[in-house]
Amino acid sequence: MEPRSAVRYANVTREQILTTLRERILAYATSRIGRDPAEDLTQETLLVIEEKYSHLDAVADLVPLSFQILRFKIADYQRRGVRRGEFRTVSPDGLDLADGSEDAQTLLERKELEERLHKAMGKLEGRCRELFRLKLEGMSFREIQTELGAESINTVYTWDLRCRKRLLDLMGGSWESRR
Amino acid sequence: MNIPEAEKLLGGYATGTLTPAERESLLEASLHNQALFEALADEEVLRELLADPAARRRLSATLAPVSETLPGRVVAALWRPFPMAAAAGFAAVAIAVVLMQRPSPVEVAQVFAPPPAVAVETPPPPAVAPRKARSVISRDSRVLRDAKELDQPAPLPPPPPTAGKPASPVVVGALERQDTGKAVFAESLSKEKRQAAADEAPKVREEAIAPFHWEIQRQDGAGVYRGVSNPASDTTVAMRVGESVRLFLEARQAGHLVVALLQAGRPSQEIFTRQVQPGDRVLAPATGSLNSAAGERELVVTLETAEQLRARANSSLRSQAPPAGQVSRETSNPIRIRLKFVD
Repeated sequence: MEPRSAVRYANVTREQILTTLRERILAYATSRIGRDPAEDLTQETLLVIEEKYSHLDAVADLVPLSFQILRFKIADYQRRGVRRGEFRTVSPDGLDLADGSEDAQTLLERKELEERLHKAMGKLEGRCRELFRLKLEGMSFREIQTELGAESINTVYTWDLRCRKRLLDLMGGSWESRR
Repeated sequence: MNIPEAEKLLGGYATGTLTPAERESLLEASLHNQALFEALADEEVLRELLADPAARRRLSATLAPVSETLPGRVVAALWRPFPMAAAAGFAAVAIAVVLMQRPSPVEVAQVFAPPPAVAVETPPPPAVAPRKARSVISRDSRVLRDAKELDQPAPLPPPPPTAGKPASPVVVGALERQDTGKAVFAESLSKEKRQAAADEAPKVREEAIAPFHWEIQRQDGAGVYRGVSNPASDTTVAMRVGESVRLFLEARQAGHLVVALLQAGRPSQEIFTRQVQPGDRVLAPATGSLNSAAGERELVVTLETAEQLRARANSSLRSQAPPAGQVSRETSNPIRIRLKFVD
């Protein structure tokens, strides 16, 4: 597969990327938490990118970074929403990214996800089981193609797509547990 | 790259499977498609989890090949065509034997009803041989429970209820041929079963008492560890110098699991010790592999329950220390695995 995006985005400015990114983030956040808070969270996310990561200008850096910040922001918003009365007393410190040390709730959620994954992966069979095992061992799709004897790499992509869907189904349609 | 093509790369994002080119293509495509962007954003939680090497390793262990575990191997073996066909054939033979040995003298007399004149000339009841053969057949179903029972002479069964309704010579001859055929067939079947029972018994007993399943795993050229030994029979495993080798264990009961490494001229060394629950899968050593220099080594694996630990603690207060060179843990279930590393 050719890295066409690198060529296509060679002349695109950081501002253009962030503009597109803003639309995507806003639509995503709106679908999760509603329009008004989504506007705020989108703005906060872009603010963090602008202030703390102004040195990044590639799509491959900015998009994953936005996912990460957005996830923290949404999780934080949802937790604060649970605690009645504290929602409107947001500290300006909340604009910052986490410092790397994770709070107990994040660790608990991660442990819960791992347990759910453990159970779901245990139900996988045959090729999907082998495919996920090889992926977790750090193999690339090209190496997996060789390992599994697939005719082309597109075959491996298709297997992976189906197996991912199967795993998601086993987990109830979402990586995160629905409460 | 179009969107359907990019979607195929989605599964590789969280696991870090993508090459830089694939990753960039996927991310760029996500900027042009909201659904793809949202799918990728939803992957973030999974990516964070899999970024933790320990979590990744634990999940990877969950997906260890099914054939590496004993129950998995049994299931896989049973589902292959040959064992399935053999099992079906055996079941058919067993049903046939049961049907053949069912005594139905009244039915025989009804089917081959002799004319009255011939019935008067009926010779005495058939010889002992067919009866004995029939008794072997009737005992056949009990062979697996007690193979020794067949070595003793079989008692004669009570005579069939044919009195007052004698069969014709034709009928008797047919019965004799049938009984003789059954006897020969049952004799050979019994021998096979007896041998199979004798072969299987130690393995079954071993599986029943073993508190854990073990397997020696060797890293292949692709960096994947694969099982190389059969726990039911191999206690000595030959390896090449320099190979990456480790021990895989799956606990079947709760207890304290200890793996000790013995090597000539060196004191015993515990390379693994941990509390385990049934179903826990562990590796010894927990990371990396065993020392693969030339020579022989012995792994002593012990799984002690809380009761055994208490009993050992009490008895150690009264007993002397073990002699040098012996493993300090004396329990009822140590399994010794010898590894020979040769050039």
